[in-house]
Amino acid sequence: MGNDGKVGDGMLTINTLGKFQVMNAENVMNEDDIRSPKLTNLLVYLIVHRDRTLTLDDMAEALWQEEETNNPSGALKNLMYRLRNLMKQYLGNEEFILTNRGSYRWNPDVAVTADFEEFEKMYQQSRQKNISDADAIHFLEKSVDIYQGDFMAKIAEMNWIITLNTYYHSMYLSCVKKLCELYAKSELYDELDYLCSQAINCENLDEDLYYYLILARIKRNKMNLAMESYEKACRILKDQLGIRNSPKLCSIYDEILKMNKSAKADKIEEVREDIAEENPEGVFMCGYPVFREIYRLEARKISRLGEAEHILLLSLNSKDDESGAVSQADHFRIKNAMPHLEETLKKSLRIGDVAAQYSDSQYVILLPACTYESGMLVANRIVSKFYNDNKIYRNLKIKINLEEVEMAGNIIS
Amino acid sequence: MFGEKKYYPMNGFRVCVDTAENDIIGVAYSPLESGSINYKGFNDLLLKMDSIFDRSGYPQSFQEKRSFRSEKKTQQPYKGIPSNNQRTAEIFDKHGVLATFDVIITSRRNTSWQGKVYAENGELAGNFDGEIELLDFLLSEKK
Repeated sequence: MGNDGKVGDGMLTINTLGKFQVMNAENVMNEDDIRSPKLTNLLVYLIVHRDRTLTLDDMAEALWQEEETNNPSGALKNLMYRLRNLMKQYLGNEEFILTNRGSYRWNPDVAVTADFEEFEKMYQQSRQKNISDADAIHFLEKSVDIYQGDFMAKIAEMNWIITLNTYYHSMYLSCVKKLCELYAKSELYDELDYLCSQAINCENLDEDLYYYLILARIKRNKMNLAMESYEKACRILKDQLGIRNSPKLCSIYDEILKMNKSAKADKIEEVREDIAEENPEGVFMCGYPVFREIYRLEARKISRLGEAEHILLLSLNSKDDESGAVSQADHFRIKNAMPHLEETLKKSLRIGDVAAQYSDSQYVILLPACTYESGMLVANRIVSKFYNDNKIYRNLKIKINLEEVEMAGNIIS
Repeated sequence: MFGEKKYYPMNGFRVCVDTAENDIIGVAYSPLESGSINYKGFNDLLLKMDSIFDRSGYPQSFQEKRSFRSEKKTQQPYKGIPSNNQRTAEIFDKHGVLATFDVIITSRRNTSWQGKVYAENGELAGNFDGEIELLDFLLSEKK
């Protein structure tokens, strides 16, 4: 659609992606001025459907959920009266809305520029056949600039708004991902970092966005930021979606591990300062990927150092279910118990031990310089302390598995 | 195996075999123990060396000893740098009448030994996992 009709005295610009605003050359009317979600809803509906005449039924369906009003016709007339007065107050005397025997329509003579239409137009232009990467980037950047937030997010309750909200949100994600791809291809990593950071504010459950964000930080040699983003991504995806060890994030983690510092160290003290941990105490808690690397290193070390080392797996389970099937209620209890088990691990384990959450109901622990018997003592001490400190979780069972640390070729299953 | 500047690893011991009629008999030497370790048979050698490793806390056993009797525990916790009680040169000077081997214990998993066996000339004879495999090496070399 875009600009249409004749430009009268007051051409209107409407913003719906993010903060809602209607503007002409002189004035601005926003949600705070309207102070009624119903009126905002009505105005946006009229503008979105300004190419056609709208019947009373169309509008009633758009404005009220079932049985929300007994007299939609009267309520609509009242709303229309209030809307016209508001627009008059803020945007001038022009006749914005036309009435015709039980139907309404936006006045075609009032030109409108709508951000959602501009957004879609830019996105479509970026998808033209044989378009160069530079031109595609240009159009996609414009699209992303226009998208300041989800479509009418504050009043996204009515079905027609939810539908458009989802439609533009998903278009925005496609837009961002395509732009990420092109930025990565063109090695524009500062832009890639900024784009992904912005997009994650709008959609924080998309694995691809985290992938590109971490990639940008790796390429910019921001090792700590890359690691932080990776850990945050893993935590969010696990907590919100139950996604664990996503292949895409695992692949980028391998890239983080290959990173080195960009700046040359003049003295070894600089290196030490960068590496050293301040006041380390107790068990080393880390994410599973870090744990896996430490395990591999330990497996190599023990063959040289003559040390016995064991790996301990603690699994929380329902007490009455031997089959391993966990009810929803138990699943909920286990989820709540996990942070308490972590607390117990922190209190019970020694400095030099390493622990990580393996799954939603399991922790995995490395016990260096520890025989099988000592390992079992440690495990039983953890279990007793957990039950002692958390009596409400006594109905959960903790299963103990203890095995020797070994390299893959030696493991006998 | 021990490099140009010969250093005898703390997790190793030299087995000098003097006779081998029904079983191997001879003397063993370890940097963890001052003096010689006389053994009368392969089992005796295993028990004596295992006991030395336990006392030294190196190489550390993955399991603790079990007994039906209430015995005082002799197993020490892991010691990264155990005391060296015998000079390297002294160990390299020892030789058996029939054969000489150097046995390196890389780990003590499954209440057993894993490691490597070297011939007297320093060449690797092979890796072993468990006492039976070690015995096989010693017997085959002796022949």
